[in-house]
Amino acid sequence: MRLAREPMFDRIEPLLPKVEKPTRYIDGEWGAIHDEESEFRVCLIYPDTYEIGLSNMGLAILYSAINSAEGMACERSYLPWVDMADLMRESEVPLLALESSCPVASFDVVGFTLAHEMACTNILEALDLSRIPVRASDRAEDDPIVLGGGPSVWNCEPMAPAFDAVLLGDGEEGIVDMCRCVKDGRSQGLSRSQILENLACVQGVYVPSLYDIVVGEGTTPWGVAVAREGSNAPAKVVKRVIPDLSATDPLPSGIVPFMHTVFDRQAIEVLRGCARGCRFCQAGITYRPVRERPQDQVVAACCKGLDRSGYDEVSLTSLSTTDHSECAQILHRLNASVAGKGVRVSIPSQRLDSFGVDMALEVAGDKRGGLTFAPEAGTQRLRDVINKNVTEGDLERAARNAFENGWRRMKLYFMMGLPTETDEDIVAIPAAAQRVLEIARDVIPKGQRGGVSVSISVAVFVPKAHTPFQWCGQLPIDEVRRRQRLLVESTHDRAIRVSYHDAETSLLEAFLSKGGRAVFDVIEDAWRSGCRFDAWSDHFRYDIWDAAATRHGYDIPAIASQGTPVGTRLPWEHTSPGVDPGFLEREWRRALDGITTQDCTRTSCVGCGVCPTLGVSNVIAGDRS
Amino acid sequence: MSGFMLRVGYGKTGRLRYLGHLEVLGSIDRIVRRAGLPFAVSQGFSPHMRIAFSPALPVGALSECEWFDLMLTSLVPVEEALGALVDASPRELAPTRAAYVDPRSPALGAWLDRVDWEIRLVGGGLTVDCVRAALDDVVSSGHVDYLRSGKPRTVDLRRTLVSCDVRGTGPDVLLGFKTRSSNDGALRPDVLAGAILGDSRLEGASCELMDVRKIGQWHEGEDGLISPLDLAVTTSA
Repeated sequence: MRLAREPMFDRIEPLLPKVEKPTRYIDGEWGAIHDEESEFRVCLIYPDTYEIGLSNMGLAILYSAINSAEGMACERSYLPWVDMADLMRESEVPLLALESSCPVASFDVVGFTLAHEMACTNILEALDLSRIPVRASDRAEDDPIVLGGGPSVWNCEPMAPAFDAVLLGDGEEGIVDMCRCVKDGRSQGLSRSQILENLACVQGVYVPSLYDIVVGEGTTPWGVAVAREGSNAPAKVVKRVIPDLSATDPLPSGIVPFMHTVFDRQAIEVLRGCARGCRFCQAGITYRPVRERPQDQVVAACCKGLDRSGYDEVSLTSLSTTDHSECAQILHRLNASVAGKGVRVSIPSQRLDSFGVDMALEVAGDKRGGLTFAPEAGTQRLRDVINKNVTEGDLERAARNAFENGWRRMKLYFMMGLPTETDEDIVAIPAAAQRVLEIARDVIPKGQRGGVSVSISVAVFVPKAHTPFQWCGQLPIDEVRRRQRLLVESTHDRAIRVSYHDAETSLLEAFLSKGGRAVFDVIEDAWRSGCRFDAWSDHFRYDIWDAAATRHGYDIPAIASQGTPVGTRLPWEHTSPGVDPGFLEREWRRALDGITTQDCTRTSCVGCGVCPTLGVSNVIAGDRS
Repeated sequence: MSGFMLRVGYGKTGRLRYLGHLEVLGSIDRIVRRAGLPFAVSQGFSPHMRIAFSPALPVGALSECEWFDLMLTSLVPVEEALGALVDASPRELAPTRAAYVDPRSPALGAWLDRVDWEIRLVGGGLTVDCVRAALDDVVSSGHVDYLRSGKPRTVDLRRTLVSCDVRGTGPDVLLGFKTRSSNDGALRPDVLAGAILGDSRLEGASCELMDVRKIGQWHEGEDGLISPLDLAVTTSA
């Protein structure tokens, strides 16, 4: 039932002195938009705490897009931390939107970012706290229409029962089209099911309730989603794409938080998409094609953003910022324009082969904190399998360059459990770190070596939908643990710090990445049994998940490690990021043969199919060579 | 390094009373940058704005008498600087007054050693008489024992509490008190309120709401109290 729209800050204010970080719940930030005029209201929810959600660029873009649209107002909400959520339930206060303090369940549309698989119980927690039924099928006529979108929609079946509709791909135009569809439907007095039928006609929109799950020959046990006969739903939903990033606002939302957030800086999206073609990487497929913003637009946006926000740091963000054809010039111009203002210019991570001396000198100003590189695999053979086209020489050159230019700390990201991996590949990880450390000792004068550290962080490979590795099973958990021990035992130098991801977290991630719609029963059971904030290691309870899965007849480790024969119909085949399935299959075979595939922004087309399918092409501002 | 020290008074009101001190510091740094004032930046490994603040206000406490000293590299007329700061501030954290002071003035943090507080108490059965009786009981003991971050602490009321009174306005009980801080310590309003409300001193009454407000802060000079703006100087470019 739709709740009445009435401000309820007076109901949560008495709770504020009792909770951690009350700033999460008070609103009033600089740049927040308060629109009491528009009659159609949307609330976007990030399914984690305020300080994580506020840093999310996707939500900031959508917030701005909806608020700019005629007749619509958009507010935000975040999942209250457990202390506040419990107090709100005890005090019978529903989840509120931040700007107006009105109940989330009083809005016309409620949208969630599917940031990652581990946020699924948080979405249910947010819906329940809002007093919106967690299953779309249980919602009343006047309940808000619940939308999903974001990076983790590429196998959204496990969460599909929670959503009335899901947007695939770039959201800035799609979300407005969806909201307009709901707005028109409501004003015409259409029923909820008629509105959902209309939403299914919006390009890029998947309406789960219009698809039946069919298990049959050639499918996995999860089946495939088939558009119901007589409905408007397309057999395959193809993602939305913005052809030219420069046509969008580089400075979408100007909200400046009071509290410290995870990315507490002005962020400018300098490019979208990455065509490097790493075979494990879902974003590398689903965000294609590559679209760079022109240099002048980036520099102007950074300067305006800093003036407007008052931040003392600006970050050039993207999947791979140093790949921008004009990255060095942008960094140079930015540093010149912020000189003397105590402002830092940063980039989130650096690619080994495109991090040159010029860039080393331009990032981080006078501060030489840590640098992060991602070789992903220890041996050249395995790097060829995953198509990570960097070499030992690239790593050594980048390390020498960084240490010579004043850096003292280096972090290296690797993965474990990649297809074809052997013990030799694991042992090569600390060996690579050792070479980097030796370069540091060679380059840095003896008296200054105290602060030198090299750390390696090793994630467990999770096979993802729409990637060349989508057919793979995850490495069984006992073998993950054995290789983690091997990794530690092979690290001899105490100056190298080793960390690795929790095996059970990765296991659940694989289960949620591979499963179909029936997995929702497990998610709901786990949440009802107390799971929330699963991405917070101190709140993650694998035992509860395991018990929930067992109750529904599923064996999480067996499902996670189960491979799928190529040619099987996969649970996500009704959604498409535009990539040709034949390309993924070809890439899988090339991986097994250790043959690399080049980056189409530097050589010629590799035939992934995205450009012809979506009617777009790469947009490169300068020259990538 | 020479410069122009602008002393700014501001409030922490409404919902922003729930900001922590570090959040206030960060927010004011951003307000100054948004205002476009020519702020001075420190030298060294980690350059930062040259700005100093009055002592931390507890989370949840209201105040219209907070202060910061901002070093500017060039002289901006006071009204112009204040206007730019107000335009760049959320209403509930907005500056209200400003003046230039001698850049060699003592740092606000230690210099402001006299603070007046008012606490509004609302609750079932609370009366002026019962709060006064509880306060008299606490004051007569001469000290308050309390826990801070799990560690036992003691504050000496003879050194830190200058005077106090209890008044009533309708259903509310107002507890006013003047404090003095030194290297030996300071009396936090929540500590005094905790002592009054705790230890069953209120005999059946309960406090449901507590509003803490800082009324004013000064430096205690030989000739009386000195307000931060008493040190204002006339500055010319």
